[in-house]
Amino acid sequence: MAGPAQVTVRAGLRRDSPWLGILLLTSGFQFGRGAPIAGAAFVAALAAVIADDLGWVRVSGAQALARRFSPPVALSITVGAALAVAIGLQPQFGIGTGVLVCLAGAGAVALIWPDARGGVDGEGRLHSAEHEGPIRRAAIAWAAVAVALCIWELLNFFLSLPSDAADWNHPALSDLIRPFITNPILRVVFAAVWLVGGYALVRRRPYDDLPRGIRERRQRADEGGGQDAESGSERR
Amino acid sequence: MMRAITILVYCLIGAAGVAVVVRSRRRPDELAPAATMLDRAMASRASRLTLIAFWWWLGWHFLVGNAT
Repeated sequence: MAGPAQVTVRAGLRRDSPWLGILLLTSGFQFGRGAPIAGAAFVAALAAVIADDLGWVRVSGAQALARRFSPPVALSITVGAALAVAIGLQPQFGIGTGVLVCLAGAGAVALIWPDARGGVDGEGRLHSAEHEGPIRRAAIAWAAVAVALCIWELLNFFLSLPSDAADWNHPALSDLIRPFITNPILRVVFAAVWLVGGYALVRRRPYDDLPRGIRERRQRADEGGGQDAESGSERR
Repeated sequence: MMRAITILVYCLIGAAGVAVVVRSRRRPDELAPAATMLDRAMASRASRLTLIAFWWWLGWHFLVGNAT
């Protein structure tokens, strides 16, 4: 009979199985198309999730560190802009660019590693029943867009293989975008947009982990939406 | 001609994404905004690591390239 720890491990792996599947498929595709570093990165993410589910990873003080390390928005913008310029001024496909991109990735992983106070199933408005319908519909809509993009990209990748003419007729999305970022200025812009996307991901945390000023503003905004919901108004 | 069709389909998919964003901002009671979706998606460590891996790969792919 399985002990409590084994039950927890199995439950964790089962809960995370969709993400494990995505990481496994993506890493396999990256290796298959001849991008071993990208493939290795997805394998590393896969290994990290499995190790976490097995309880092998314990980062003491991570949550306190993340909470302390909540830089002001102005500082984040300054650092992000400097990093974008540094990336843009490096030769495209150069080692310096690779180092900077890896550092940005490592920093993002460090910031998103700690769970929010209360964990995945902690209390809070994020998990209230009134949100389930809109969230489910939005998840379906976004999944449809993402799947359509992946299918079209994959289709064109395989259709482009036979010849140079086929490659011209069936460009991958990256083939369309890449010529623009040979220009250093556009590369800075691309790097800035990429970093803004990363910032948007790492700052998505429930209230408890947000800096005080932002937490209070979000709570006031949410309480205003809750009061409107009770009065029957359409405003959230 | 085929190249134009390929690019057109990419544009249509992008337009679909924009339509989802616009709809969710106008009717958040029908379609949750992207911020709410991100909050939910980032709730578990596995999903956070997966999303960050894809974000990182976007930067690596376009800025560093296929280093074989």
